Amino acid sequence: MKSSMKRFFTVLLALALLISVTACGAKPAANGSTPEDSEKPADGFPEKQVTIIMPWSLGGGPDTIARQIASYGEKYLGVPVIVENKTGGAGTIAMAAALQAADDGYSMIVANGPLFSLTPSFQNVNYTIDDITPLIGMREVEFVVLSNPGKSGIETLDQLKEYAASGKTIKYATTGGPGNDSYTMISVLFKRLGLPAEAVPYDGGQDAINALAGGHVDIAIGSPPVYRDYVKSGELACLGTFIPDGIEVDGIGRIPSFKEQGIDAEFIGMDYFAVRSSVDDAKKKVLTEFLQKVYADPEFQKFMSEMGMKAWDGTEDEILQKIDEQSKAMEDYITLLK
Amino acid sequence: MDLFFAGLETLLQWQNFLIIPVGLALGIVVGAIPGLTSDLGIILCIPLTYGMDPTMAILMLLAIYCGGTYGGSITAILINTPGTSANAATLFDGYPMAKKGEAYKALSMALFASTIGGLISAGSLLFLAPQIAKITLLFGPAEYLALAIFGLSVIASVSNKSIFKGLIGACIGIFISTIGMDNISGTTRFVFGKINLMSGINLIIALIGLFAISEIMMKSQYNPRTDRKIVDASSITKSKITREEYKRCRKPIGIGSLTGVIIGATPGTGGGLAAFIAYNQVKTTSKHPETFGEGEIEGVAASESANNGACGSTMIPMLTLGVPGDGATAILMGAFMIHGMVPGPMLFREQGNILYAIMLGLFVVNIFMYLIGSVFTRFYAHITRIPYELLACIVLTFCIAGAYSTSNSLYDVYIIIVVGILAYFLRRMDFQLVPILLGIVLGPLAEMNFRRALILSDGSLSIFVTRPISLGFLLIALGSVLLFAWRNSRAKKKALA
Repeated sequence: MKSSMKRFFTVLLALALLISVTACGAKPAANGSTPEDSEKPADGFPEKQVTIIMPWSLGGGPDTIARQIASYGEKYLGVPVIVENKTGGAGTIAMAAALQAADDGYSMIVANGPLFSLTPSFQNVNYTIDDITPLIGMREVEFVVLSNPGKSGIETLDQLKEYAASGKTIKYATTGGPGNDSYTMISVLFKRLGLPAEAVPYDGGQDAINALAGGHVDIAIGSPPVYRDYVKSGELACLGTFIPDGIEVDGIGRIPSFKEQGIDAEFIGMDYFAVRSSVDDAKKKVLTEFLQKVYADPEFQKFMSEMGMKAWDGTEDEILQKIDEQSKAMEDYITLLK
Repeated sequence: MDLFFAGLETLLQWQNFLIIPVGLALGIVVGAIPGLTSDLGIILCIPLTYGMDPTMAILMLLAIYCGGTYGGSITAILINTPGTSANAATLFDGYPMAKKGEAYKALSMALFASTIGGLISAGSLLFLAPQIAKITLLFGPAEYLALAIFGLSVIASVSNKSIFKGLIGACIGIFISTIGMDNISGTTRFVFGKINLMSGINLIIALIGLFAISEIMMKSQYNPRTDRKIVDASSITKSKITREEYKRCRKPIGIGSLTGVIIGATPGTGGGLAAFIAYNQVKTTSKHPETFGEGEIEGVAASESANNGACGSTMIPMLTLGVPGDGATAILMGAFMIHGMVPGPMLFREQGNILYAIMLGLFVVNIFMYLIGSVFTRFYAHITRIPYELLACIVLTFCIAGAYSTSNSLYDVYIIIVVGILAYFLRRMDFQLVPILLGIVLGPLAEMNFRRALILSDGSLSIFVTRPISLGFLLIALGSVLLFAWRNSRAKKKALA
């Protein structure tokens, strides 16, 4: 009895130690800065490390670009810039973190359009577009729909229709589940085409393209540079893009839009840098100018072209207008899918 | 052949031979600290490689990857906490060996097996990449599900005392893995409105809670006055591997390395699963399965050769198809792109010489790993001399720092405490932790692919038995469970007689 009591108290003590250790770090970490920081004048800004909150996983397109931009922190901003990945919840976890961070300009977030145009239709989110101010665009995401002619014989939209007419249900790979932009757009395409089709959600662009290359699905959606090499080597074929004017891809040539092929399905995905809207205007300007300087750097431009991407320097107004247009279009699309 | 020699020429620059040991040392350190993984080591070092030429940069990152996978075994053996998820299977026999005073022997075998596994893996990457990549493409949802079931069949052999408790453990693990957002339906499960739970429980966080925190709590009964063992410093390095033991480990290392190569080349799996499967195969086919789990050197050899055996082959689908095999290769893929090489079908044609330099460099990485490891193993072994009350504090601090650094969030620190307390009570009730870990690792692989396969087959279960690879894995899984059950009952009968 005595020894079991002793054990119980030792466990209790170990727990108390654990909790006390974690409690020590709580205050400064919870909001990322001390209260005095937000009262400092903007002219001394920035004096310490700036953090980019990244909603998407390590090694993906936006993460790679953000990390490259962060490497110019000392050169153009005078302080280190770091990237923190807060993934999950289709970007809403990073949004929550960004809105909980102090509005002292030391926390930026990378956001996209669907966080405002699409996610609120699927989840109860506790933010609106008024909570953030876009600083500058990062990249436009150009979704392309692809087939594997060697496995399914489909190389054009007409062949896709013939395939469905033979009584088969088309299985298409998406880069995420419902509420994801690629899922929505490719599902809209099949609705508009009026073809029997079923979505197979995968965990990302690579997985979806791999499923297509292996012949496990008939159709997949992807964005460059994920599919580029497969199309170049002739293994996969592009059926079209959601970018209304079509796109030109290095090494592949022009990919026509679905709009040009008579289908009403348009989408321009985009990622951009933003801060909490309550951040001081002078600080927003400093951060925007930093990003502009990086975009103008020839070395950065070389990096982006080697990655097969282009930096997109869209302004605050352009970004807000696109989000607004996208939100209206998505309302129609979501009604169509329901 | 021209590319081979061009690659060799690119590799044979003195800078490369300087950077590889640096990467390895970093890798071994991050691998050995619970909570810090080779993934994190690679991420932290990518900015350092910006100024380097591509071969040097990638070799440094690969050295971190291989070093980290080996380094995790050090803590698994010495303090019963795997440094990374790839080393979880090393716990079975590594820690019991250390308790028997054979820490040095276990560490030496981990190093030896890791090196052989790594070299075989490098060979597979160099000579068989295109062929293996073609097989990898055949893996659809049905094959992944069968592979996951094959992995789960390990539960039978790792829950020695009670298969029932093993299965409950696996269910607890699967439950933990379902927390978060479901990618197929888009709905959230078990998040109770907490936004932080939406991304689910990170594997490495679960690992720290399950093993490290619960281990420290278990040792809370330790009394330094009566329980402290006086370890004689001169005895530590005496437990050298004998020639007979090297001979005995030949088969386990062979099985481990091949399993590592095959599982590693399958995207979405990785070294941890490879190590479990190899351990299971070696144990079930061994003449003395009863010694496994009690400090059997063959167990350490099997799991350590398997996880490093996966290191080179995870790069096969990444380099040839542009599909990363696991978390670390996803990050490596980003690094390749930063250095102007886009992994995928065109890479061999466009950047062949750099690629050959890297593939040949992987042999050098493994040889250096052995050299560095042999110098330092004697020092690691002395960790067993640190008084436990001091070691526990150091480990706890590293665990909390490691958990916090995973996503710079205190939330993860709370999770390790909750998981740790849960694991502590389960261990008090004689549950094994490894089935829980298997559930966490394999649950999502099984569930997602089960659902995907059913979408593809219009709801028919026949998809799992009509596809040859899927059927093959299911049969092996069934065979290994039956063989285990038969041996178990025979052993029991023998014991009764």
